[in-house]
This record gives sequence, structure tokens and C-alpha cells, in this order.
Amino acid sequence: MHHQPALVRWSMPLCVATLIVLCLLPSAWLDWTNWFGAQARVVVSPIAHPMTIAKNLVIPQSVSNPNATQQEQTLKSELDRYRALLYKEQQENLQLSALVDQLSFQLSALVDQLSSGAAINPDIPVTQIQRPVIGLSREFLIVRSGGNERISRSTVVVVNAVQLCGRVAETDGRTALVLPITAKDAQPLLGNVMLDSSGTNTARCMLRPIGKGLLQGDVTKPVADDTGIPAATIEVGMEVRLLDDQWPRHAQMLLIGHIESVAPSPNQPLRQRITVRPSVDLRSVPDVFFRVPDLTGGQP
Amino acid sequence: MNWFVLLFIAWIGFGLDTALLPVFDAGASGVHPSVVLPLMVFVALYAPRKHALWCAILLGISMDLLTPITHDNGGPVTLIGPYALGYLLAAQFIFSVRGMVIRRNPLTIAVLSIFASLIAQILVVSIITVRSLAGDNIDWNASDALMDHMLSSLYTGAGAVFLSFIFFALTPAFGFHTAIPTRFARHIK
Repeated sequence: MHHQPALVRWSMPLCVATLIVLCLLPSAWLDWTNWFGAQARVVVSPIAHPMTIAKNLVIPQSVSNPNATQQEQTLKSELDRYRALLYKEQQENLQLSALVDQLSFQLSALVDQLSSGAAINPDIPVTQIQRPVIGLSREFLIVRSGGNERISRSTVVVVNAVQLCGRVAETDGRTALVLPITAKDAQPLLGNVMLDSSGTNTARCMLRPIGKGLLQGDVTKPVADDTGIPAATIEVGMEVRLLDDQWPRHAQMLLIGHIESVAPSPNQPLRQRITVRPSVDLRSVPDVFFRVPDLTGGQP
Repeated sequence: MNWFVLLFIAWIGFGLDTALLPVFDAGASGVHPSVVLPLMVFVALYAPRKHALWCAILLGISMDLLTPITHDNGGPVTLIGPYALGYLLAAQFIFSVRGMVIRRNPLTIAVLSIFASLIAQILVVSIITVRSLAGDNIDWNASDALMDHMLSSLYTGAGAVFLSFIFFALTPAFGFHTAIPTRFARHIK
């Protein structure tokens, strides 16, 4: 009778036993497996990326106005970018004025210290780095990071300059995993519903991903102010922008999406439940922008 | 069996899974087909037992590496094992029934893909659920995941009908020899 070497005979049971042990190890002990995952993504990317490009050619990403020329789309993108900057500055002004009001009631020494600027961080200039999307792995976007050492975990990722996409969950030398804000496992976001175009009339909401590329959350109904002007109503199509301390300052007031539906909150009668859809499908974008701090301070 | 052809087709399959997932998973509902599993079913139908089992482990480990789960803190956790063991169990199932089915029929690949996917996905969900219940910090909803994976299995079976024509055409390239050739594809040697 033919006998195989012991190593060959026992290779399969040993392999299965190893896999079972690996399955049961706590995730805190499995950091080293992410390195193998990164290598697997590198192996697959030469075939996945051309397929993604072909897919984007066949099924182009939907745009808000397909008849707009390239120049019109560029101008609209530029306009969106400046609106995001304007809203961010307005929110910071509101926060700062509230802070000043609060500080005026405190000790004069503390006011002197704060008014000298020691306690307020200066604006951090940001550089946007464009990188192509290779594909999708479960909930994560696989992006070719190109070995840029400034792209790190928690780096903010946007689409079309102002549409918030998500954050980097992991990065290695060549690829980065980005968890979109609409992924089922993504963290909730705090946002502002922009009730008018001035940027000062807003309503706070907390949005959670509900699948199908949507976010949902309750929002407080706006109330009328002392001037007698009736309160604005929350309507379909209104913009929702990020205003969340868990995100970096430079990401504040980036666009989360537009309200797709408004309904009474089933649990809280004084609130309304809004469903928000980002301006693009975040899972099928051809490329993304990493927002990294500009260490040169804006100097060439 | 020609391992080079298998690895090449598996590479293309993983590429298709990665690139076309947003298209087939319309609405981001989590239900999407697999290209790799019908390949494993095809190999398990034709290859010798040992080759089929090692092929299942290899494809399963690759799938584990390419589909990380989400940690509570939003980071990925690459869990090696669930898909490898699931595919191994599915391959063993196919090996046990392959004497009773008509191998050269596309519907065989489709139906077996559904059952094999169900077996593999139930094991995957069970393993990750056990980890979650044991207090591992992963973001996991067992009932949602089980529903998504069940529907994905049906979706995989539908896709396997089309893939089977390609696999049948590549039968000689894989190094599989059949006494009666299929009438659903012209062989590519």
C-alpha cells in the first residue's frame, strides 16, 4: 500500500485547525492580518482597476444636470466649494461670538488670554489629493493611495471637492480603505439642515446610515423668532451639511447630502425624521479627494 | 488540474467581484452575487477530491483577505478563516453529491452554487456571530447579515447560470477530462 509522507497526510487537518484557531482569536490580536489583506488588495488591483474604469465608461456616474458643459460643471463645483467655505466661516463666527459672550462674564485675565489668540487654533490650510477608486470590498472603498505618507487613518475623503465621502479606515503603502458615511457600519454624523441660503438659519440633526446609500435622523422643528417672521419649514431638497466635533475643523460644513423625504418622527412627536441622500452614489465614484493638512502653510 | 489556469481565472473573478459590486449590489442593500463561488463549485464538480478541497481553502482565504469586517471604531478587521472553512465545507458537500448530478448542465452549477453558497454563508455568519457574542468589538448584526447572505446566495445562483457557459468552455484548459462533452459550450483548449 502506498503511504504518503506524514507532512502531506497531516497538512489538511493542520490547515483546518489553524483556520479554526484564527477564527476564534480576538480582533485585538489580529492586527497583523491587515497586512496580508493589503497585499491581497495590491494583487487584485491590476485587474479590478481597469474593470472599474470600464464600468465607469459603460455606466457613467449620474450628474445633476447632464446637459451642462464641462465649464458650467467646473463653475458649479467652484461655487459649491466657496459656499462650503462661507458656511464654515459663518458657523465659526457664530461659535466664536457665543464663546465671546460666555467669556465676557468670566475673569478678565482669562478673557485677556483668549483674546490674544492663544486658545483658538488658527485655520489649517488643506491640500486635496486626487486618487482613483479601484473597487469596493464589502463596505469599504479601495482607493489607490499611491504611497502618499500624508494619507493616514481618519483622513477626510471628499468627492467633487465638497461632497463628504467618508474617512480613511486603514492605509498601507499602496492602497487605502475608505469607509463611506453611508456604509451600514459607519458612525452617526451631526449635521445642519440649511433652512435658507444665508447659512445662518439652520436646524441640527443626527444622521445614521440606513443602507441603500441613505442617511436618516431626527431634526428639531424650527421655531419662530421674536421678530414675528414665521419659522422656516424643513422641505425636500434642502441641503444638509456636516457640523460635528468628531470631525476635523477643515471638514465642517462639507455637504452630506440633500433631504429626500420628511416625515413625522415615530418616537418623538415634536421632531421630524429626514432621509438624506448624498449628491452622488458614494460607492461608485471613479475617484476621490483626500483632504490632508498643508504643512507648507499654503506656500508654493 | 491546471493550477495556473485556476489562479488566473480566480484573479479575474476577484477583480470582477471588487469592480462590479456597486453595479450588482444596486441600492447598496448588501445583496450581491459572487463570481468566485461558482468557480469553486465548478472545480469541486470536476477536480480530484484533494485538489478541490485545497482550491476551496485557497479561494476562501483570498475571500477572507479581501472582505474585512468593520471594527467598532470604524477600522477594518481582516478575519482569516470564516470563508476558508465555509468554502471547504461547501466543497465537501459538492464532492458528496457530484455522483448524483449531471455535471455538464448549466442548471447543475446554478443549483449547486445556491446550496454551496448557503452552506458557506451560514458558517461565515455563525462564526462572526459567535465572535460578536463572545464580546469581540466588531460591528455586527446577525439577522441582517443572515438575510443579506441568504439573498446573495440566490443571486449567486442566478449569475452562475451565465458563468457556467464560460467554465464549460474552459474545461480542457483547466485540465478536466469528460467522457461526454457538454452541448452548452464549445471547448477552448
